[in-house]
Amino acid sequence: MSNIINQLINGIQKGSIYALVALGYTMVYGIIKLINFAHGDFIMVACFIIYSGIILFGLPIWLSLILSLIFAVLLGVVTEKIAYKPLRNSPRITALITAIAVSLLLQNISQKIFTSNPKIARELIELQVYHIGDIVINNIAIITISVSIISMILLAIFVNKTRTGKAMRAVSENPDAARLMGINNNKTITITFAIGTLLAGIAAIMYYSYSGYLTPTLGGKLGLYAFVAAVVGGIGIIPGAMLGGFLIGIIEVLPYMVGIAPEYSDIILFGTLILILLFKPTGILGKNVGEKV
Amino acid sequence: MMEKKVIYRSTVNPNLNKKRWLVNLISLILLLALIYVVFGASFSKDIFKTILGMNYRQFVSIFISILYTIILAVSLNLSTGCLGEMVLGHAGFMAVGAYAGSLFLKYSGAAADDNMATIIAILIGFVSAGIIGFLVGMPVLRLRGDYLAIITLSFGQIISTVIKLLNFDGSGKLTGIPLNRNIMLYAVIVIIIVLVIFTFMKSRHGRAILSIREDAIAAEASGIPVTKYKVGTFTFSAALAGIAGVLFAQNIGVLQPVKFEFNYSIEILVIVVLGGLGSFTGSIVATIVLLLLPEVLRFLQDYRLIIYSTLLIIIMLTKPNGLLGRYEFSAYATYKKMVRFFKMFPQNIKNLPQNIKKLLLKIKDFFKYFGPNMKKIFKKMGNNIKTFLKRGGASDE
Repeated sequence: MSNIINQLINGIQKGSIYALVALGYTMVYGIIKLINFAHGDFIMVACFIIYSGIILFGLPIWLSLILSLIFAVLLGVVTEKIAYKPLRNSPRITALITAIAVSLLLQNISQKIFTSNPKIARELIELQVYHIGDIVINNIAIITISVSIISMILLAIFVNKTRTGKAMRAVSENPDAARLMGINNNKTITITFAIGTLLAGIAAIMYYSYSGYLTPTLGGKLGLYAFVAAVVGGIGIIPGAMLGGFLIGIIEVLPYMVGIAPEYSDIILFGTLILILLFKPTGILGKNVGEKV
Repeated sequence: MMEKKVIYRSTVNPNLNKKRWLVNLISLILLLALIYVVFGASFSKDIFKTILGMNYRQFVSIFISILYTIILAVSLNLSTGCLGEMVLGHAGFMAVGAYAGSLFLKYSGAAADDNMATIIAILIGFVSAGIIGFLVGMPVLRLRGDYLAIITLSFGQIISTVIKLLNFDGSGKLTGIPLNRNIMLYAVIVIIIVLVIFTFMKSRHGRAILSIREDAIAAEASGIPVTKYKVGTFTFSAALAGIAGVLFAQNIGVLQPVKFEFNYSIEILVIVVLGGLGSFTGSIVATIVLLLLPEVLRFLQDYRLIIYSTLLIIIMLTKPNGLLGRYEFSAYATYKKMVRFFKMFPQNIKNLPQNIKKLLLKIKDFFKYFGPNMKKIFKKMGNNIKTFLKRGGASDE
């Protein structure tokens, strides 16, 4: 029993990282209908910036964290301007391939700089383990989960209560009508990308302190799982991404709970995705939109 | 205003069709002869070794990988380009075909270079991948757009994970598959597949599929059984991927489930989109270019993958519809162009001095204009680049 609860805590910790990454996917998809395959690689870049800040240049930890956040946001905005904006009126699959190419480019550049040997990431804060009966929980897990929940609440407030958030919702609903109402679409899309990559930067900090080692391809799996989380919750819907993230995190540790081979987690994960999509094609929280002629 | 005179050529003109057949047949034979001379004949080995200083075996291996990737790209183009459904799990179907065919080859005790066994394995791969494709396609094709892409991605991942759990020779690995690197056999198979797809897309069924891509609701209203065509095309495309899998297995001799994961499906999709969605010629050209590019860029060493992905971004930004758009190569049209060129040849020769004079005049005019206006032109160019960077692209609204 205690094993199950410990694994559950582990799953929620993983899930809160996935949820933050999924939020980036969902926001970008909601506003320009692009599956941003490079999103996972933004996290990888942010992780390597923390690594080089702390270990290569010997900067203080807080400074390298802030630098990584700034760089992640800059990277997201610049990518949007150079690679995605010119393709806004082209077939959507073209933009998708460009996103894949950006992802490849980022991976190859960091492979060139940092080589493909895994880099060991030291803990950002001192690890403290608390025992409550048989249940073991550490301070990093507590911080990860609470930071992720706080940022989600802040995001929800931002999107629902501020003018910019209203503009974002308007553009994602109907870009042409939004422009007629005097909303600057390009600016709104840039802000969306900035927020999405800021969340990715926060997720990178958590991933850095959770995983222990970094490789240039870490964005691939992380991105794929977070993307599945966004779809399970209903892509384009912010609470859906949070729900999906926690769900995927728990599904990933399910084989450890029950005691079967960890390879089964992929089957359970993608099987859940297929079942949810077949019975509710727009995700758990998605609304069904009727067919328009 | 004068109206343009349009001549409608009857497509049922028997002489024309006969001529077209003849031209196509001859060009096919020429293509096969070319492949035979380069790879199949016994003297070509010596040419590679002595004259080009290249490793013949390595070259054959690359050529076979081009052949099976052509099958993959063309079949994915059928479901993604022609039917218009984004499929991200094509490598999964390839894995099914590869494992089914290889299990037959391994446990039937087939010898290496046994062409008959290869053909049977290809049939087995075709059928098994087709069955899985049908089972996946039936429920999945209810969905549309991105959701279909995601669900095919999931099926692809599940297939490779299931293979991992089946644990043939240790976590899904399958070793000891008899090799068969018979280029001529594979070339013939690829040509047959491409021909079948070409003629299929020119038939009424092909037009039905294209109409589904353009507007599924309108197609259904016009009496086209949309679901039947969708599932049929998807199944056929998956089955063809199975053939590619068998070719892959016989070229390498070892199968690993990692190869057939999400990344490989994406790689095939990149080829298809780069060549042009809906253009089979584009798929073939893009396959050859993309598979040879890393070899050609080898002198760049570590930077080649960076340059490769940068090139990909630049191509997609400058040519959003792919390299060839929807263009298709036609042997007959090329033949006609050549005939016209040779017919006009004497006249062209006669006009040559005159044409050169015209060209010289044009160049002179150009310099006359360019000389004084050079500053202006450069300024304009600079402004153009500036606005391009400012707006982030030329095609913005």
